[in-house]
Amino acid sequence: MALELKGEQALKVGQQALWKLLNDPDVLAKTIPGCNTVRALGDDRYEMGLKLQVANVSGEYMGSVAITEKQEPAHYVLAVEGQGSIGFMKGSAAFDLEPKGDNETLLRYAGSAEVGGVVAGVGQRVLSGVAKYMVGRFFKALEKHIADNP
Amino acid sequence: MSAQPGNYRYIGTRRRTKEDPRFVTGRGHYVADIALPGMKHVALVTSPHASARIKAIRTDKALALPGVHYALTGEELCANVDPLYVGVDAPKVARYPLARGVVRYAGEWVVAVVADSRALAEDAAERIEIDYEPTDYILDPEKAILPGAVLVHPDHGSNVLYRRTFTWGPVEADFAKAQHKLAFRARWGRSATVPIETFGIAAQWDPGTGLLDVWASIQMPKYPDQLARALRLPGNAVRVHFDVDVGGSYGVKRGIKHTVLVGYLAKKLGMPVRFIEDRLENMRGGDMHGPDRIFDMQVAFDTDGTIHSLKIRALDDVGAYAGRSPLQLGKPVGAIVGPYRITSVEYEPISVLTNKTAQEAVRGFGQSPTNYALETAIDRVARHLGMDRVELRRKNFITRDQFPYLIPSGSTYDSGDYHTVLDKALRAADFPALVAERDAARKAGRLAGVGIATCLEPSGGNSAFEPLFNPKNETTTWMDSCLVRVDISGAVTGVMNTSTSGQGHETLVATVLGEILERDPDTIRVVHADSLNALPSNSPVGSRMAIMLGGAAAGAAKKVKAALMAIAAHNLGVAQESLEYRDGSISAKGDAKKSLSWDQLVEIAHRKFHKLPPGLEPGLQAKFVWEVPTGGGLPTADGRIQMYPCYSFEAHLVLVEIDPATAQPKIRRYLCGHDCGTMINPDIVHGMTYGGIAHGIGAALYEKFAFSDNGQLASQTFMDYLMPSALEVPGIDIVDHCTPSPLTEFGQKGSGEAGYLGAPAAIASAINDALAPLGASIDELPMTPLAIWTQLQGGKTQ
Repeated sequence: MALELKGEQALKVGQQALWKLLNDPDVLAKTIPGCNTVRALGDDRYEMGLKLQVANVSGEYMGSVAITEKQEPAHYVLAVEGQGSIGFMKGSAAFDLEPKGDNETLLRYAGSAEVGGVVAGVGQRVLSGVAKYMVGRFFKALEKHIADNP
Repeated sequence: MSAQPGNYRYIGTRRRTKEDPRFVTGRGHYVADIALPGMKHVALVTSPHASARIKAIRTDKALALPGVHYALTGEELCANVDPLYVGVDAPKVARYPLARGVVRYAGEWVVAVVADSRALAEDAAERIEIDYEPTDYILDPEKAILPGAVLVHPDHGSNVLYRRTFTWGPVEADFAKAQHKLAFRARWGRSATVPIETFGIAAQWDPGTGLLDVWASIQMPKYPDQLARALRLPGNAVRVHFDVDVGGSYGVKRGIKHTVLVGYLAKKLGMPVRFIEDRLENMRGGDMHGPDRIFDMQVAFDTDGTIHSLKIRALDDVGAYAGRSPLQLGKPVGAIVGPYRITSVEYEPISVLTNKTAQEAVRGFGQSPTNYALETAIDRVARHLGMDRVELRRKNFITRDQFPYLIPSGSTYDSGDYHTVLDKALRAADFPALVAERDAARKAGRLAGVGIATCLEPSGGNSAFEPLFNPKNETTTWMDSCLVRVDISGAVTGVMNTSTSGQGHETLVATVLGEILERDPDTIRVVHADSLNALPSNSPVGSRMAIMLGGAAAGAAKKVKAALMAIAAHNLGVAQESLEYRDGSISAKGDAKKSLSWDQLVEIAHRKFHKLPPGLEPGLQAKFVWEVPTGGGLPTADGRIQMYPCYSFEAHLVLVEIDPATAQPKIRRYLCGHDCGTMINPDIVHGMTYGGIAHGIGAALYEKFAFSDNGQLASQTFMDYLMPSALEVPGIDIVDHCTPSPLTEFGQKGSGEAGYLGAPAAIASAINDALAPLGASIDELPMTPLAIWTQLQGGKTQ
């Protein structure tokens, strides 16, 4: 089944600084919910481990993340592919960073993912809710990281 | 004719079923109650993809867990077992319990993990890593039959498993001369019986005896044989214990792949192994999906309502593999015109492979979808002509003086009185009042509809669709059997030779033996033989056991009675014709002093060889193996065949109201007129019928195994796979009628599928009657609230 995600978030950080944060594996490891490892493989490719819980299904995904179409500091596309005990996911999202004053950036994102396996069948009713919730947690963690590291 | 003919002492009387005390007091013995010393447990790793190549499987992390014994892959299993049975001639559509090399549906079993407990096996299963390369898949059965479609089994060369056009009678001439023709499409959604007990199996291999013992929750024809063949064992190296209670089935407890998997593991590991599916394993990859059909129907008829001819194209999506599922298009051949005098039929069954869970048998074996299509055709003709639906049916019914009645596809209906059963139902429902209630609801601004369906239940389970759909299969017997023993104490025991999945076979056999031997059925014990002790049987499918097991029990009891008569004649010095059998004692007619009691006769049989007539075996026992009445024939070149022997009939009347705001249907009245010949135990027949109607409500309104666009099963829990609960199943009235079958001992016919064979058609008829004032209709089951709501929106804007 397909999952669509689209939205925007204003962050209290400059465009270039935000670009750096979003391309820093250590920051991503800390801010992506459930993420336990991010390892750079070079060429803007990363290996990532995620622990997820959707409805009554929980499990781990191992996957790869690739960043393409880079137009620093304004635009990139993130392609994600992962699989684990609860199924697979494969998707991509475009990110646009738009400066909003000196110390604020608007981050727009739009993407879709294919999800399969147990998580797709059991969690389908709540999947898009869970995805939105996880995006929200990611931004909260990112905001906290920005506030803690001025 | 009365509701119950014949002068019987036990047959047809309301008696407590023999099984009740055990089940009501919680003493049933299910496969989950089997605990073998040192037993290990299985969990499965299943495919998340609808179609993919398996590039690598890594099991080391799972095997590193303490208490984990084995991780079995398809590579190993497929090298050591033979493919499972396929009902049609398609050897390249090989099916094994585990995938090898490729997966063909989301949920397909890939690895089986064996551990000390199920929980541990599940934990270990999560540690198994599989690299997949997703490949193209095909989900739409109509696209799957087109040239160039992605192939589910490339070696087979096509996604078509079976396709043939049968023409019975002058179809083109009938269409040419008919005053009216209409065509429509009707779709039956993928649903099933969904018992609360999932499939379970426990197996133990004894290297000392070379014997595999199997306990399973089964309802599967030729199960021991199929299992032994796949495991490359002689038939007598497998012992299936048929005395395991089954927690619901009505078709779906097939379990061959489960059993071959567990049997292999038990033998390989030298440990007893048990596998009980969890709900997800059961719904995604178990034997749980029923027919999934698109009917393209054409009807030729006259202005006066006479229906002449039908053209039926039935496209059935069987999913990624086939066992017996394509044969579910074959059974309806035996009742392809329903209860109607239709003189010619063209039937094109097409069985299609897609990347979905494999289809298995469900109650009715394909007849209920066909009945739904037929009844929809009748309603459409009525609407087209502006004719009353009841009158149209009456006009086309086979009349009671026309039986035995040969239909164009070669089956002869044994007996029936459709007019009387429908009339009884109409009277009992106070039909004019029902229609008035509908009209009053409509006047008050609500949506309401009356539904009618008059359908047949072919019964007796002769599997003549096997040779019809596969010329290499020359099976013409589907016998069943019974052994009766009278022991030295005079107690009677009946031995059955297959499993029971809730049909009340102990009651059936005890009642029949009691009737013939004139002994109280409460004193008669009925047991299951295991498969090594069993006489030939073809399992309790196809509404066959009242006919076949009942007939076999009667035949065996008559042999015992004949032996008793011979003993009495010999010892009393009286010719058998002059003897009278009463309650097990035998006396000379007109001379009560010349008499031997049951105990004395049994004593002679078991102890006094010197008093036995010459040639009579000592002891007192008899077996009877019965061929299905009317069975034994092969199909003609144009595909005519006597399918099942006996034809039960049901007339359903329903009043449905639909909430215009929520589109939620509510069944306000449900009545079923039912004729299954002589009922052996009316409570069991009524119980089957209530259950069948509840099942039919699910198929008509709620239940569907729905797939997402990428082949994921979207309804694999009871949150998404909706089943009717006590709130959705109304009070149901059943009106009995009895037209005895001339083919059976007591005039009995089958009733195992009763209710289900007409309920979906009747409810669909009611919903469409409710939508008719809006000019709307729905041609697809289930008619969900969303589907109804969509029609309501369309209707309002028109």
